[in-house]
Amino acid sequence: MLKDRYRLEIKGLKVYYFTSKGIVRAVDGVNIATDESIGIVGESGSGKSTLGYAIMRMLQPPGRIIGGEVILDGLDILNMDEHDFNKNVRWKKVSMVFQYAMNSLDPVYRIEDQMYEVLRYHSDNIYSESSPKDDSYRYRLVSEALKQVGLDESVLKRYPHELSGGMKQRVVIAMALLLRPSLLIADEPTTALDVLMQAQIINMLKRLKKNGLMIMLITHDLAIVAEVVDRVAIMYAGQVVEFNSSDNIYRDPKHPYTQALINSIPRLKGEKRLSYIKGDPPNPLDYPKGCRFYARCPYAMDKCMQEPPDVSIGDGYVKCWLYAK
Amino acid sequence: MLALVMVMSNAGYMQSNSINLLEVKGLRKYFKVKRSLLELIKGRGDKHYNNYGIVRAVDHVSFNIRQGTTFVLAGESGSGKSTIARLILRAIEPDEGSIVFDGKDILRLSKDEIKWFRRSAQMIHQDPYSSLNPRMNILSIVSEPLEVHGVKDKKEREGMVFKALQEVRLEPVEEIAYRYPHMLSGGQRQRVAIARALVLRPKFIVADEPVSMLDMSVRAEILELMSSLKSRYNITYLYITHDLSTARYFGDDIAILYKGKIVEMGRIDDVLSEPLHPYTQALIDAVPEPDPSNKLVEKVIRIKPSTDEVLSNGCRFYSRCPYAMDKCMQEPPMQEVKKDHFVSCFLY
Repeated sequence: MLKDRYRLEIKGLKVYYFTSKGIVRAVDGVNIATDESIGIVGESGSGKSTLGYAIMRMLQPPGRIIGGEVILDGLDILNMDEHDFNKNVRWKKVSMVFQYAMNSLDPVYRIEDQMYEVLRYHSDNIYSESSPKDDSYRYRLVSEALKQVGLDESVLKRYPHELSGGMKQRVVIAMALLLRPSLLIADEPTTALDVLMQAQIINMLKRLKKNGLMIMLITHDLAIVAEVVDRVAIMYAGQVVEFNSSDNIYRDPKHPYTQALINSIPRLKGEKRLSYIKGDPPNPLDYPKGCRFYARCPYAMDKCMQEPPDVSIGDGYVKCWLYAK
Repeated sequence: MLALVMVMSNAGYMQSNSINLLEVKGLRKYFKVKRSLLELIKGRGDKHYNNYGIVRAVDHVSFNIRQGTTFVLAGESGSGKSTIARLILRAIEPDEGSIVFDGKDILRLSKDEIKWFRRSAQMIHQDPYSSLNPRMNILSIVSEPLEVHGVKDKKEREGMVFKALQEVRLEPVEEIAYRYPHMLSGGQRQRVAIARALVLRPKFIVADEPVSMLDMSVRAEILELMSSLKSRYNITYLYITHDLSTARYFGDDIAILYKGKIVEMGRIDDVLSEPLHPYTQALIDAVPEPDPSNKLVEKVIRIKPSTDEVLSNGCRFYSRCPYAMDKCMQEPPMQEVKKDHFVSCFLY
């Protein structure tokens, strides 16, 4: 647990949306430190996508980062100057595959134009590093990225409508990998796909991970997370309520919310019993004091009216009074 | 032909002893699609070439749904599952085949009977974010079907709506009824859609991917709600999905569709625990399991990638099948391999 530096450290990150109805505390003090691929799991509105946008520094107003830091490979990326960040970090150290990204491919341009566009905007200094600024180098980058996602160069001359959903999703992931980032944030990369396509994308993510890429997988689907990542952070109402290795999360979940989530996964094998979490998540404009899961928790106690501590367990932590000493 | 119709409609009145609520036989629907200019030029020399291509969306599909059970139609996008739903509800007309609902051939209903059918068969759509009118409050959304079907008294309508909302556990009812869809969460909206389907006391509900847009934790709740309504009101469901794991919790029988044809059919536990058709096997292998030890190995996908290339006769799965044989160039017949377990494949 105690280590000076991790590949990715998120400390006390707070992202609020200042809407006309009040302040939405979308990400409210998130702490994560990891060297391995990580899954961010939560219901809609739990702040998991906002977390991804914050790391990319792509928040749209009225969203704003209020506090905390994100340290990636030793770089404090939130306190960098925007120009510097765009030149050296965005898409080079960290890139993101957005939700429904495959629908954002421009229908009137060939795939090659759209991939080269990424290079044009983000790569003015990569040429000087190793290779001369020429077309063959660009082509090599593009074909390498395509190979990583299991496509070949024949897609370059095609238009988006000529590709299947799974192929489009691969192209979008290839674009994110073009400049060899060390962290890839993937927001629901398989939601709109059929099971067979989904399995292929999952296999591809596993392969990328094996080759050293760190993946942050944002999803509500615990089954997909188990297939890909090594560590899991469970988010609820803007906070991480449990963070641990995926073995611990699935085999021995601690937080009552994690336990309930795991019991609500439909499975193809085993017992046919499905439970669900009664009630709704709290209103993000007005989170209750103390534990935010209090109203839905089967173990709620008086103590839970106070903010629960992050209790160290295994090589992670759980935000719950049940485990406090 | 006329005599046949007579016999069929008579059977309904005589209360045939079968317990099937819905019997679909030889249902067929082809769609014409315009060819691109390029295809037209390529096909110029061919005498039989016409300006339209044909998509065989539903091709001689037959199945029965037992009263009070859930029948699952599963398949990838483009397999024709939603087209079948629209045919059964008579949103579109089939080219061929018969659909018998509660003993009546619904393709030959009189005007009054059509109204009866529209009341008895309801639908729940996939996307609760677009299936509810944003300008209507929940009360008017749920009471609209009542207005259409002639419940004139406003007080009476309101009472029925409140009761329906209660049944789908949208409480406090008086408060929810005056809210608008945007004020509700995805799960709550889908419950409104269920209440709207329920308010006419239907016998049959078609649910087209009712939980695929919802969060995992909410899915279980909606499925549980739908099954409790099934037993309470003896509702029969047609559940359309591509997700075999939710189907397992809710379904009784299942049919696996591939490109407009049923390739395998049977009791859901039999089909999922012992899949026979290579396509069903591939679908089941592809389902992610919430087990962290899986991350060390890649999923094995035995079938070949999807192609548009389909044999005009013969097995439609031929080009993707790992076991394809010469025999597969002919149409594989549907055969009962085990009790109540049908498969259309030459391997058996």
